[in-house]
Amino acid sequence: MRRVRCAETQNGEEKRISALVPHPGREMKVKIKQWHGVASWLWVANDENCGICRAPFNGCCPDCKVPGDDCPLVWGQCSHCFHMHCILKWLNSQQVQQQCPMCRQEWKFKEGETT
Amino acid sequence: MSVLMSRGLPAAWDTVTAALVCPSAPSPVTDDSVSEALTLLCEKGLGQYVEGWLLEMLQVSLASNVAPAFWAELQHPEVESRERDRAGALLEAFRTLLQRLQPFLCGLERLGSWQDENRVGLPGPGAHGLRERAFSIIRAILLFSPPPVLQQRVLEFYSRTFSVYMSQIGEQIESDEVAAEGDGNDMCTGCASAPQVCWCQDALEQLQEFSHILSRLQLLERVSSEAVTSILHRLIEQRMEQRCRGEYERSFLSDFNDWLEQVLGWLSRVFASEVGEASTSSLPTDWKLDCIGSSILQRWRCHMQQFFCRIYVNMRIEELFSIIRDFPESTPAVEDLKFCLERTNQRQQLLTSLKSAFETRLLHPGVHTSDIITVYISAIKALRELDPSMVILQVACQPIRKYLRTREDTVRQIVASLTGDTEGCSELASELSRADPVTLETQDSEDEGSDPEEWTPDPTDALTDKTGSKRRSSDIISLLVSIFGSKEIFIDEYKTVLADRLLHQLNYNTAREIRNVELLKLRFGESHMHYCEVMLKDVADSRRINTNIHEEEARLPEDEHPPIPLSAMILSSEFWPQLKEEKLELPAAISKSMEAYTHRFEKLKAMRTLSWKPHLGSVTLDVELEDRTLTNLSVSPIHAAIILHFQDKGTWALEELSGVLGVHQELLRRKLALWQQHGVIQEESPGRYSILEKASSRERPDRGIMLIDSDEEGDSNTTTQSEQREEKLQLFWAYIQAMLTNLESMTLDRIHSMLRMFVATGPGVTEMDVNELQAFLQKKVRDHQLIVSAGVYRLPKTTQ
Repeated sequence: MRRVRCAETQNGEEKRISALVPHPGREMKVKIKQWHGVASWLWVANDENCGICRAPFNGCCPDCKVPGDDCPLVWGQCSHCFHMHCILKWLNSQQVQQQCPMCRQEWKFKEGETT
Repeated sequence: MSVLMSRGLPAAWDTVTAALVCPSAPSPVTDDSVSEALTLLCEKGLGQYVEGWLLEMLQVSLASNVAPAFWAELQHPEVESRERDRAGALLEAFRTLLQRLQPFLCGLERLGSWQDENRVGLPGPGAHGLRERAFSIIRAILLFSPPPVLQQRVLEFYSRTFSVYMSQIGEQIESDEVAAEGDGNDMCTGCASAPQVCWCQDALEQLQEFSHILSRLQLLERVSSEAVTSILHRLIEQRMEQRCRGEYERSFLSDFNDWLEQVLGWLSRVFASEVGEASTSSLPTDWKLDCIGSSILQRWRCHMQQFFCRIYVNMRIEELFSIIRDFPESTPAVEDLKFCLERTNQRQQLLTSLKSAFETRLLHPGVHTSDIITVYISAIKALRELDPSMVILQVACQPIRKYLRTREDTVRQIVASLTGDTEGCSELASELSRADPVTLETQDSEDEGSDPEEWTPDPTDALTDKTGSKRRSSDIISLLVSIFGSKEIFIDEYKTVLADRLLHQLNYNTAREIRNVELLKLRFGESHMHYCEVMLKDVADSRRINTNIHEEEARLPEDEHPPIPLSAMILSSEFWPQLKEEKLELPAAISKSMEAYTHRFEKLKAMRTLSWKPHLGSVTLDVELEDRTLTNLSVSPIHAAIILHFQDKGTWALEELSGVLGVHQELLRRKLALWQQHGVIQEESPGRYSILEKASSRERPDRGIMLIDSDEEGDSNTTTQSEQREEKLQLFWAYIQAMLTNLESMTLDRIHSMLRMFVATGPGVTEMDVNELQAFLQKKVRDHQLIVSAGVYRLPKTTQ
């Protein structure tokens, strides 16, 4: 008997209906009140480590203490990305031309993707 | 004239000897004739023989009569006689002795005074010398081989008079016999006999006379010392047993000193009675005797103090473990012991005994680590009171530190008690929050503040290692931390504990942790606690993000609300300890909610996404069954996932469920036990589980399987310390391989020092010790990745 009913409940719609219909052997119901999940955040980047400081993107640059909002990543139009503090330091040190340290193309910030 | 003289010579001799041995004859009458006779004798050159003759007389009489009579009299009352009679007999014996020697003594006195006055050129050593000779003869003959009865009697007599004396000055002597006898009938506490036959007063008078006689015969030291010494020793020991043993919360020094003064009162009766005697006699030496009396007392005082200290130290050494365990309640005992220990040379004994007490009573597998730590903390506190130079602490606790190093959970226990979440061991938590923390860094530079004038050398038993007296710290936390030689290992452990706590409670309430981290920062320095700060910040950020996302969701129309109220703890993975990776497929509804949450997060924080740890977290849920409802159960995600699957389908085979959840069957079976315990799910047949809709239909199975899961609850979310260490060492494997390839073979120490040199910049290398490296290399040897022979490691040929 249960077998049959289980087969019916494969479809969520049907289940809802069958739950509404009162029948002698009422099904067990689980009500989730609160689900505390655990997740870790990470940058959507094509590399693990910053090409300048070699520290992981998900960490922070050597000058920072707190990762994430306080030490964001920036992308160049060449699609290379770095810790913002790292690339700014790099660009400030370049007298003549501002180039991406990875591909030597002229460095331009990719608009709209910095935080 | 010469005829007269020659006729008079025997007469002169008779006169002189009669005057010397029979002083009872009226001497003033014969005085003239005696001096005449003496003159005669001296003229004939016989003067010098008078002295020899007299001493000879004394000796003969003593050996043949006096001494045997004395011993016979002393033996006279048999053992069965009453104590009082025995005391009387003792006194009587000495009285007779004195009486019978009296004539000789008087004769000697007289002869001595003649010699002193140098009358008629009589040669001789003078009164003092004569007396010395006579008394040494008496001592030699009388006490040449005294039968034990004398000591027995004297001992008994002194004990009695002592208790009489003490009872008279109001001090109860709690000797066993008195306590036993004094129970029923009221006996006199002094003489232990019924009040009507009390002979206390007599006893004291007897003591007076006895001492007097002995000092008169110059036998006092000889006869009494031994008895008095043994009485005092026995009394001190007895008193110590009764009063001090097992009693650590009271100081006994002043108590003892008061008592000592009373005892000295009795001693003064024993020894200084000659003072009183001297003043009545006309001897010119009475002031000298007085001095002798008080100097004797002084000697006894020192002796007793010395003896007390020794016994006390002996006893306390035996009890030191208990004293330490009871510290700080046992502070008075520690202070007393300190005082006494400075006066006896027993540090070595104390160290040996304490060390072995630790080893037998504490350092074995039956003792919980937290108990060992608690005792160690007490030991630190107690021993720094006992020995401010910390040498005892350092030496005696060496075995504890060594042993703790071998226990796996030591660090965890210490950290747990540092943060105050173990019961019982709150000492460390309060120590941590003490106002003036000793920072671990500044230990080396402590020249400031210490006056060079106050420098004291180390005691001789100090360990001569590189940690000089400067480094010998008494700070509890520094000592505990230094068990492992570095603080990194503690900070790592604290990180793990903190991560566990944050991931277990999930209520975003971090006030206590923030406080702890701040306190630890004061101890360990800001930079070391940086990771912990980021972890706490993550918690705060997560709360903000949750609020943000929930608000956003609330703005949505009703039917777009997520099916499951989800909140997240979002971690900065680089800053948290490595979390256990477990696979778990959550039911679709949950994963959908998580995806939705992730989308909202991605909108909130551009270019960032979330990676969920499905097995971590906690779920609050209600389970409604046909005849009952379980409300507000708090379970782990895997439990929730299981029960959700049972909602869809009433019966599952184990392998089927395991496939859906992506969880190993063994693990799943253990997790199912929770629901079995709640009576929601039953195992119909082996491997098949179904819902129990009606509680009544549940036949109670044995509880054995029910409780399988209970040990799971306290499980840590983070990988264990040893796993982490293992991973760290794995890092070095590449280095080790490279070194061995180049240098072919190396010893353990060589590998260790090379690693230290080359890899020192990496994180966590500094605390790697040789033992750990050895264990790691041994493991590699077992895995056939390494060969060891004669202490030299090399790579196996095939891997090169």
